[in-house]
Amino acid sequence: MREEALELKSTGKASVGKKKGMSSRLKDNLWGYFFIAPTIIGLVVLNLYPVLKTMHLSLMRSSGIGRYKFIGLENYATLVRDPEVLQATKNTILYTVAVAPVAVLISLVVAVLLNSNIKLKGVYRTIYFIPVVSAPAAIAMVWKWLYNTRFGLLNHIFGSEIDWLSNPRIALLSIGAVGVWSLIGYNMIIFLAGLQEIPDMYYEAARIDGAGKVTQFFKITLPLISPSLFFVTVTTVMGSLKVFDLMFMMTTDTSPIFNRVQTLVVLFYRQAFVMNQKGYASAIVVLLLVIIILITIVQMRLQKKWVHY
Amino acid sequence: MKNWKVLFTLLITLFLAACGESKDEGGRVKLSYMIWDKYQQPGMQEMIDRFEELNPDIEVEIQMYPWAQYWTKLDALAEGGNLPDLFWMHIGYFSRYSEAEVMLDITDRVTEEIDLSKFERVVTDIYRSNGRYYGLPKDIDTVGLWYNKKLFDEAGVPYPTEAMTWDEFVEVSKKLTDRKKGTYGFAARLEGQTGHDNAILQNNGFIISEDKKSSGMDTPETMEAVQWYVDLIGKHQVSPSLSEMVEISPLEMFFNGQVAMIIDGSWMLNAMLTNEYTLENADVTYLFKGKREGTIANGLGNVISDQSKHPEEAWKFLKFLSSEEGNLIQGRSGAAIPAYKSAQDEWINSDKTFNLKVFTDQLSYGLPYPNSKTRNTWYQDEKRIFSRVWSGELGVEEGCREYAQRMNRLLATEE
Repeated sequence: MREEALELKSTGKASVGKKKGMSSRLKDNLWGYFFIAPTIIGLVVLNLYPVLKTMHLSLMRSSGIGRYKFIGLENYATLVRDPEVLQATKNTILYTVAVAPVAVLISLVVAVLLNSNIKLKGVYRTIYFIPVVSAPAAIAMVWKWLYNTRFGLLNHIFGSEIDWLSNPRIALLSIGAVGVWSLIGYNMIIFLAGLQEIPDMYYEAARIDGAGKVTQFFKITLPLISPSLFFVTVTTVMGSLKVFDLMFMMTTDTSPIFNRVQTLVVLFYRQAFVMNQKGYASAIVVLLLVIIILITIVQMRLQKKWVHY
Repeated sequence: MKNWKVLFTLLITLFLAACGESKDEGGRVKLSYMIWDKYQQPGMQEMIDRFEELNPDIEVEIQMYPWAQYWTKLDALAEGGNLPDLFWMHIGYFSRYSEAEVMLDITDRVTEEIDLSKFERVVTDIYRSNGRYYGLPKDIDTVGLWYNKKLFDEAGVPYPTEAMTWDEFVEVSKKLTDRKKGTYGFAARLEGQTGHDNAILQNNGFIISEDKKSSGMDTPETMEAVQWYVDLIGKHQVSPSLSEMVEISPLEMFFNGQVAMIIDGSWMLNAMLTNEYTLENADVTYLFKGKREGTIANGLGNVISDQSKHPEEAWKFLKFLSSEEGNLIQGRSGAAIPAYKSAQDEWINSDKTFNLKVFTDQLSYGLPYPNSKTRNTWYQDEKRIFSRVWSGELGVEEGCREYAQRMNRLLATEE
């Protein structure tokens, strides 16, 4: 496009592609391919190939190190009847329902507040962003101690004896809270970028018309930030369905409530690397893939209804 | 154009640098040795230092991964063809690795160069498969009852210098439990070698049959033993609950003076010495006894990888590790009780703080660690099912029967 614009300036005529030599166009295309090559190669080798290989592996049974026997769809037949898989699916969905909307909402509100002219907003933005750049392992370790029933800081402050991580009813939510906390900063940045694209004059016009802050939010901010909101919602939901490191490090498989907090990816890890059933594990992960695809399709369809571009 | 040449050269250089060789500039052969115990690492390093003195053209590097990740890592390395030259092997995992044929067959060299009679008989044959040798014994270990002298003093209870009977043990634990202060008599771990498996064997039960074809978990003796063990938590309340032991590990509780007794192994010597609290307040005695005495004994092995690029040098190192000189160093360092019989006294005398003799004494009634090809999978079943039994959600009989059923199904696939 730039070359065409330059040509326009120098010759004063509209020179279209036809006027450019074939070799020149080929050179353009080659440059294009060259620049996207690293990403495409990475995508194919590191993403596409493993996905296909995993699907292939899901049709096998592991027997010993590196040895597999083809068993067709038997893994899937076992999967649908496995109570552990069913429970893990329930846990994963419960976790997502608890974490995703809350994380998105809080980060939106925080972003809106940090977009206004309050003092020290740079400091606040940093504080909110620090969890994002902290190592998940470190976060998990610290929160695990905060949640400790006998010696944790939380129980100490509240003077309570709540078994945050040992109570089957709230363990998932306790871990979810950490999940939300670690996501706020990341989503907030995306929202801030979207917010800063909204021209001030809309707000000025609204103020002149007598609209209060809340009305401004719902009538101006929300519609104009809907693309960012859509993106953040889709990625947060996907991320929550795939939660692993937090879960893995804050729970142990000898815990009596382990069944109630085990998510699909954690189950996959145990089946694949601890129990060495890589075939069955692959089937479980394909199940997760299907779930994510279905949910994303639904979200894409709904996109037309509420996202304004 | 000049930029292209620079970029190209840079890429090639990086690529070449990344393809490391296992020989460094001096032409020395580098061997990698994978282990899982950080408390034993100093002892292993001492052995390596001496070996390197005697063999200046060989260098050995330790790769330490904690137990919880060791087998996962080893599996991944095995599948990827990147196994370390030498690594520790455990009886519970040996059949899996021998089936995968990733360990070097050292039978000929062993027959020619090693005198197996120097090792404890119970461990010389563990690392054999189909009559061929794949590993040499490194150490022998068993468990004892570590106890907190300070808590015994405070409760006015004499130290348990002899093996207590099951009933005596419960009585003593009760005296040492003070729930208001938050101290318990004993941590009834959900663990095999350092937990309930000992009780099972002491009651004449068994975990897996000798021919590895059936599970012993649903025999009345086994179920009775598990019931006694679990009662320590629920009925007698001398042990913290499973949830509590998950949130703070029993070892940490012992280090903090929250629990008066735990079952743990001879391999914990250095851990107990390094921790200031236990150095001052702990000691070890004979494990309690049921209808018979019994402790789960085990012995680690050193094996060479079939994929090693330097099998000759690796064998030299393995030979040193299995020699008298090597084992004297191992014993003296306190790392573990050498399987080499004449070096065991070194270990007993390596430290006078604790009554280490109980371990070597208990070796005489040590029983083998339960294992089979599919152990990885049925051991997970044990954790899942027994965690509900320990927390009182599931009855002992029901849990044991379910576990036996699952184990039998897996054992049937081992043909």
